[in-house]
Amino acid sequence: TLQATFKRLNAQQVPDIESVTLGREDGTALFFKSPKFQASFNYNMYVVNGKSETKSAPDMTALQNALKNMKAG
Amino acid sequence: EKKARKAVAKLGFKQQTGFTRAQVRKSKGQTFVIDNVDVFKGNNTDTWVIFGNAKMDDTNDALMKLLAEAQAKKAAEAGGDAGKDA
Repeated sequence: TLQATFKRLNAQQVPDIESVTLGREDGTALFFKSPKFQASFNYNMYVVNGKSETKSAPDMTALQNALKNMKAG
Repeated sequence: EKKARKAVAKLGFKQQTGFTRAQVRKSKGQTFVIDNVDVFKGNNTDTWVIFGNAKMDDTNDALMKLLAEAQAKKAAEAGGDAGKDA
């Protein structure tokens, strides 16, 4: 099963995950609210389980650009 | 990591294209980011597997620093007037 395999790969449950955002090249993002999250740091592997919604992320981009400008200036 | 990828592929996970980075937010305001992600999704499940190098995000720290600096500046500027009120 899935979980058996993840367990074999040392994936460990990480508690208190508020959200996971998966950013795409086109600026949209997949947003998971309070997903189940497992991490296997040995393998640089992370498992996200939960319902997701697609969001456009112009706000984040704007904020990051503003930060970059501030750092540069 | 190769072994893990193989195992995940064996489970029927398919690589998803177009993803660049992942951001994971914990409840205490901690954030970590995974750049250059490889994303896989299982068939008929809501399970996603992400491969990549995670690191603590310094965006929050940077923002906090900026806020602190701005407040310090404000306080310094208000310093003269504050003396009158006291």
